[in-house]
Amino acid sequence: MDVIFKLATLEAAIRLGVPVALAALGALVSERTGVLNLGLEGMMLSGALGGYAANEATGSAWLGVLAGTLIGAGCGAILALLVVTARANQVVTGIAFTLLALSATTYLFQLRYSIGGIPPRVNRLDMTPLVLLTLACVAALWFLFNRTTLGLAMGAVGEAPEAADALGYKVERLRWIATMIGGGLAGLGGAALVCGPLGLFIENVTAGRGWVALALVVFAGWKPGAAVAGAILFGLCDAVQLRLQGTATDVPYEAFLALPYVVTLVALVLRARASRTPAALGVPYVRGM
Amino acid sequence: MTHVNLPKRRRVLSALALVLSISLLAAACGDDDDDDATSTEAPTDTTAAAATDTTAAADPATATTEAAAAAPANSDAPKLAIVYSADWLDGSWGQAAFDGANGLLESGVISDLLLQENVPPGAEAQRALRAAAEDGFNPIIAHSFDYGDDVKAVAADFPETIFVYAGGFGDVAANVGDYDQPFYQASYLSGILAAGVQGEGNVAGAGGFEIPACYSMYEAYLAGAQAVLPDTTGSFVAVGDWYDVQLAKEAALGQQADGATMFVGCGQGPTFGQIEAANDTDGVSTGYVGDMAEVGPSVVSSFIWRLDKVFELIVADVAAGKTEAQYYSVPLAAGGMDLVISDAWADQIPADTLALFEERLAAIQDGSFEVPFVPEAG
Repeated sequence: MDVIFKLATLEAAIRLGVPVALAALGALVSERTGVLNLGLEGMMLSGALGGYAANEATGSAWLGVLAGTLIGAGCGAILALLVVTARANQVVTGIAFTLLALSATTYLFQLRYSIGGIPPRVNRLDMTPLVLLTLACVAALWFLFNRTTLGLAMGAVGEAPEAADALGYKVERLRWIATMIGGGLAGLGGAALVCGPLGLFIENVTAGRGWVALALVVFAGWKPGAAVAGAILFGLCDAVQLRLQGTATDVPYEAFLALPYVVTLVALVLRARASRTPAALGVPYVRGM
Repeated sequence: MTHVNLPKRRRVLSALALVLSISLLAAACGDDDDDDATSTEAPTDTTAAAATDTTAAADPATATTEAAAAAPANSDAPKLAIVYSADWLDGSWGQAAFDGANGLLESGVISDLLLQENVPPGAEAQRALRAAAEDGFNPIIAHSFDYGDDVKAVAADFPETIFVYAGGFGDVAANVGDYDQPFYQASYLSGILAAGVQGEGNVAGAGGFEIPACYSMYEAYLAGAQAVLPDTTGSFVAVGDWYDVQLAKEAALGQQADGATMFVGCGQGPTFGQIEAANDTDGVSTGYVGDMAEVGPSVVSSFIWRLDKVFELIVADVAAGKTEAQYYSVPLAAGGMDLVISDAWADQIPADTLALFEERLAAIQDGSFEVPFVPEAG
C-alpha cells in the first residue's frame, strides 16, 4: 500500500480534491442558514464555463477564476429568488437548476466552440495558489461563523428562524447573502477545475463533483475544515484506486472503482450519531406561520 | 394555505417565482419536448428540423443537410433514425455517427434522417425508438452499447423494422442487429507509430470501463509497440466514467509515474485524459474515432471510424426488403477505419518504423496478417 504515501499520489489527491472542497464550502454556507442548495452541481458547471470563457477571452487564468465566482454568485441569486423570496420547494428547484445548467452550458459551449472542432486550451494556474485560496476560504468561513455577529446570525437563521426574526435579524436577507456566497464558492470550484489542473472545458466537465460536495457537507458535520479534509480524502481514494488498478491484477477493477464511495458511506455512517444538521434546513421561512 | 395571509407584494413575487420555476423546469426538460415534437411531425420537416438544430454550429454539415433535404435524390430510399445518449458534436463517438449519417443523406442512400441526442437508455430511449418506428423510420440505430434491452423491447412490436445497436459483440436475433467496433485493428498500427517516434517507455491504456472494444484496443496497441520495441510493457485502467476528463487525466498521470510514455484512450473522457497527460509529460498519444491532431501536440496518429460504411450495410438490408438483421462488421481491411498520421509528426517517423507500418497495413488489407484480438485481461 505504499502507493498511498507517494508524493505524486498526494498531489493527485489535492488536484482532485480542491474543486470539490470549494463547492462543499459553498454548500455549507447556504445550508448553515437553512437553504439546501441542490443546484450546486449546476453552479459549479456554470462557473466552469464562465471561467473558461473569461480565461480564453482575456488570457488570464485569475480573471477566469474571478468570472467563475461571479457567475456562481449570480446563480446563487437566482436560486435565492426562487427558494428564499418565493419559497419554492428547495429540492425540486435545486435539481431543476442543475438540469438547466447542464443543458444550457452544453448549448452555449457548442454554439461558440464546436465550429471546426477543437476548443482552445486556456492558461492554467498552479495548484499552490489554488490550495492557498481554499485554505483562505476555510479560515474566512471559520472566522465568519465563530467570531462575527453576521455569522452567528446566519447560524441562528438556520437553526431557529423565528427566534432570529424576533431578535430583529432579517431572515430573508441573511439567506440571500449566504446563498449568493455559496453559489460564488461553487462557481469558484468549477472555475478552479477548468482554470487549474485541466485548462479546458468539455460538456459536463464537473461530472458529478457537486453531488459529492453535498454529501461531504453532511460528512463534515457542517464544519468548513472537516469539509475540505473530506474532499481531499475523497480525492485521495480516487487517486489511489486509479493507481492500484495499474499494479494489482488479482482484485476485480470494479472493487477499486467503488472505493471512494465505500469510504464516503462508511464515514457518513460513523458520523451519523454526531449529526449537527441545521434544524431549519430546507424549510422556507414565513413570518408568523 | 399560506397565500391567504400574504401581503400583496408577496403574492406578486410568488406569482413571479412560480413563472420562473416553471420556465426553469420547462427549459430543463426542453430537450425531450423538442425530440417528441420533431419525431411526430411530418417526415420531411423532421429531417430539416432535427438535423439543422443539431448542426446549427457546424456550417458545412448544415449546408449539406439542408441541400439534401431540399432536393431528396431518391425519395424511395430508406429513412434512417439514430438515437444517442450524449451530444452529437462531442468530437468523437457521437460525431462519427453524425458525420456518417449525414454523408448517407447527402449521397441519397437514405431519403430522410432523424437524429436524436441526449436520450438516456431506459424508458426514454424506448419512447424515442417507438416514436421513430411509428413514423416509418427503418432502419433505426441506437448508438450506444447500453441500449440493448430497450432495442429488444421495442423491436418485438415492429417486426418489419430493423433495429441495430452498438453492442459490438454479435448480439443478433430476428430484426435486432448489432454493429462491430474493431478499433483494435487500427490501434495496432498506432502502437507501431508511437513506439517508433517515442523509442522508449511503456504503454498506458484507458477506457471508461473494461469492455472488450476498449481492452482489445489497448492490447493491440501494446502489440504494435512491441513489434518495434519488443520489451515494452503496459497497464490498462478503467476510469469508471466515459466523460470525466480530470479523473481520466489523473489515471494517465499515475501510469506515467510508472513509466508510461505512449498513451491510448477509449471513449471521449479517457481519450482526452490520456492526450492531456501526454501533452504535459512529453509523451505521445493517439486519437480515437476521429482525427484528433488538433487536440494536442502529442497526438501522433488517429483513426477515423467510417460509420457511413457500417450504416450503408444496414440501410442496404432494409432497401433489399429484409427484416432479419445481422452482425454488421466493416473491418479495417474493408475500409471501416482510416488511419491518419498527424501533420506535425509526418516527417518525424523513422524510416524503418514507417516501412513496418506500411507493410503491416498492407498485410492487414490483403488478409495475410490478422491483428490479435484480446477482449479481456487474463
